[in-house]
Amino acid sequence: MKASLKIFKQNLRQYFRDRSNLFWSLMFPVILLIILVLIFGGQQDERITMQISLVSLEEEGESDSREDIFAWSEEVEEIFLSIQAEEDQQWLNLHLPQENEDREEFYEQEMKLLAEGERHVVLVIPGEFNEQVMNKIAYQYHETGEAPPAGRMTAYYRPENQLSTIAADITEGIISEISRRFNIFSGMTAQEELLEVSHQEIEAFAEPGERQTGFSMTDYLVAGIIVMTVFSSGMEILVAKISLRRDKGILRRYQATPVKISQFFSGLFLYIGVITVLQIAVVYGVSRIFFDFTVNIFQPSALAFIGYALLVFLALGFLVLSLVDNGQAARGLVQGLFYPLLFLGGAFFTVTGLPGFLQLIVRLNPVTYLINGLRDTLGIFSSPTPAYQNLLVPGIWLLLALVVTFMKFSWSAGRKNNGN
Amino acid sequence: MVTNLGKQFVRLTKTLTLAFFRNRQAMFFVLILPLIFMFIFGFLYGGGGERVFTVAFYLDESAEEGGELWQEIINQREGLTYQLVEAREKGEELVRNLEADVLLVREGNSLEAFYHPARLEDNPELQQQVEAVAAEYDRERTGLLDIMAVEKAELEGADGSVSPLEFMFPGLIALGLASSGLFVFAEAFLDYRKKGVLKRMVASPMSKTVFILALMTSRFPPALFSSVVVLLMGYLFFGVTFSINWLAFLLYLVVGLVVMMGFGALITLIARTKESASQVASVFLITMLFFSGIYFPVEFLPVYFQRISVVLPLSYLARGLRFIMGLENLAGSLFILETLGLFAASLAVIILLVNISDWAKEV
Repeated sequence: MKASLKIFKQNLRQYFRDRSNLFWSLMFPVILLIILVLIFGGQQDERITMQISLVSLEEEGESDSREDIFAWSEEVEEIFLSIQAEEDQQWLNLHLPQENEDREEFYEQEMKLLAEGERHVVLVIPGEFNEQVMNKIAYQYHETGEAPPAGRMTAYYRPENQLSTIAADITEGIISEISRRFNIFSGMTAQEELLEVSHQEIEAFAEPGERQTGFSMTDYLVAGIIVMTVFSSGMEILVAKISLRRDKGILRRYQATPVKISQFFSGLFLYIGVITVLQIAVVYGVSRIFFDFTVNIFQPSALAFIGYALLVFLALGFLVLSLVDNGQAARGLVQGLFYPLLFLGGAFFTVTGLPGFLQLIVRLNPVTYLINGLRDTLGIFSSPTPAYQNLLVPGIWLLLALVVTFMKFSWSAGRKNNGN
Repeated sequence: MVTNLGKQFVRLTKTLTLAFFRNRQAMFFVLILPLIFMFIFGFLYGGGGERVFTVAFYLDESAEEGGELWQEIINQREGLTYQLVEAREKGEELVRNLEADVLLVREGNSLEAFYHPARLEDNPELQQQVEAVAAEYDRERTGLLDIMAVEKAELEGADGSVSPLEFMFPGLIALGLASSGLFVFAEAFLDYRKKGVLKRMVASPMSKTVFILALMTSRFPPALFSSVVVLLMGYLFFGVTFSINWLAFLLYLVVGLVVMMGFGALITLIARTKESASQVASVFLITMLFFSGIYFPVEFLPVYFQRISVVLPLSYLARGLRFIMGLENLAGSLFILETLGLFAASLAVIILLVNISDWAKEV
């Protein structure tokens, strides 16, 4: 017991003495949390502003010269302006040509700005648009000849930019809505005949109960960050500590001392456990204070699940150490597995639409089940995988890791360690 | 003397390059990590073929029409596939379990769409698809007249329109450059100093400048190798091709490496030990990944964080690579100004580090 505590204290002292390492090991999960919450935290709609240009290439006053053609292009402008003028509206920033500005020049300028990323959509209304719309309407009443096409506008956008793509879809939706309202206004269709479309989020759990407090993307992300923290402390720290000592021959020399293997590892595991708790506490504190994280992670079931996750990652750490006896390679392997396993496990965003071999990795990835299980246990979101799988699959990895460790773990380093 | 320095440079570069290739940890970050991100994000962007969303559809008894009309409308939409569910709860479960992308409930005169709340990257597109499906239904059932319509046209870059998948590749190459260059000073230089290699080198006839140049040059082969492998894998797995000006591309790789090395040198001026410098460099690498607009549009960030991307070198590297690979229009003068400015600033930081560092100090 004394020996275990001494080893624990020695590791803890080393950790706290290296202040730079201490700071960054605690701050990295927090920094990642802040980044992810800001990007995905659900407040995007409030701050996204789309730069949309609208240019009618019809000559000024041309509609006025023909009394039988309604200035539909001006109507479209008015509608976009009224959207922009709506109170509390921030998503649309509309760009129109100045009163005496040449339309063609404005069009060229806006297309250039679109290419440079300063605009998301340039909506171009061609000169014949008003006539096309009138012909389309007239056909409904007279139906002579071939049905004319609808008045066509072109929305230029950049497909590689997600916001530009969304802006193009929204523009299409606005124009579609104008058509719809015309139909209602002109009596061609009754409002009651048209579908009422609503959009909403699915409930987090099939059976609303005490656990369900309304979905929060912040809560969703924090659970992923907690699993990431446990992964980091359970696997990275263990592999770093053991591999470095093994490479230097320290691990082998322990066997010549009165310190038992069980005492050495219990001291090390206690250290890792304390570091894990410390890191989770920092993440919890920051998310509670700054991001309104109200989930209770101290409920027994959640703590037990986090403890189980730590065991799994410790076992996986031993698996790596058993299969790779070169310290640098072992540390590299763990670092290399870190982000792919977290990304494919759904720690930061849902992973769907993957091809077969990547889906297989997702299904075999213990992180997938640990994250699903923790989110379900904390009442954040129902697990997409059955509860028993959230314990079974990581458990299989844990057992497999233990078996391999007992068979293959070496106290000595393998090939000569390359110091570079 | 010049011949001797040249020989020193060649020998050192060869040794350091081989040492880097033998460093499995470093090789992983330079070579494997960009490939992993390529596969993950490539398939997320639909690189394995057109992305198809599954629409779980529940038809209530109160709806007048049958499911066949909806099946026809939904299946006709590019990127959607129809799946009828017997109960609303079943549809909800499919969406919750990520087995369906959206649930549509047709009841009375309404069409309710239910989305998974965590699928922020897909839901905007799904919403537009649902609106389009509803509009098509209205046309079919009520004869709704479209008096006007929008034709969406992709803006063409230097080599045609650019898909999100293609747009991602310069960022992957920039990631490889960042991994190669950022840790040169944050890790390698400090490691050599810690082990006393620099101290002994100072006592030898070897020139400091030659050593630094050799250290920097040794990172070019792995960076080039990483870039070529990423482009090759992109072609093999996703069929993406680029018309690249290879001379400009190679020159820009050199510039990009120096820029990231300069950033790494800046970190080294702040964090004096190898461990802390390495950690700070890792944090900055991850921060740059998110804030430089490589994988997520910076417009989704608050304005004050969008401004951060302006000071991140990775933002400019990715943009410069997109320009050279014909994926982005950029004024030539701006490109040259940005490139030269970053290059000069990075060189200045590296020179500062080399001159003020105590090479004989073993930490």
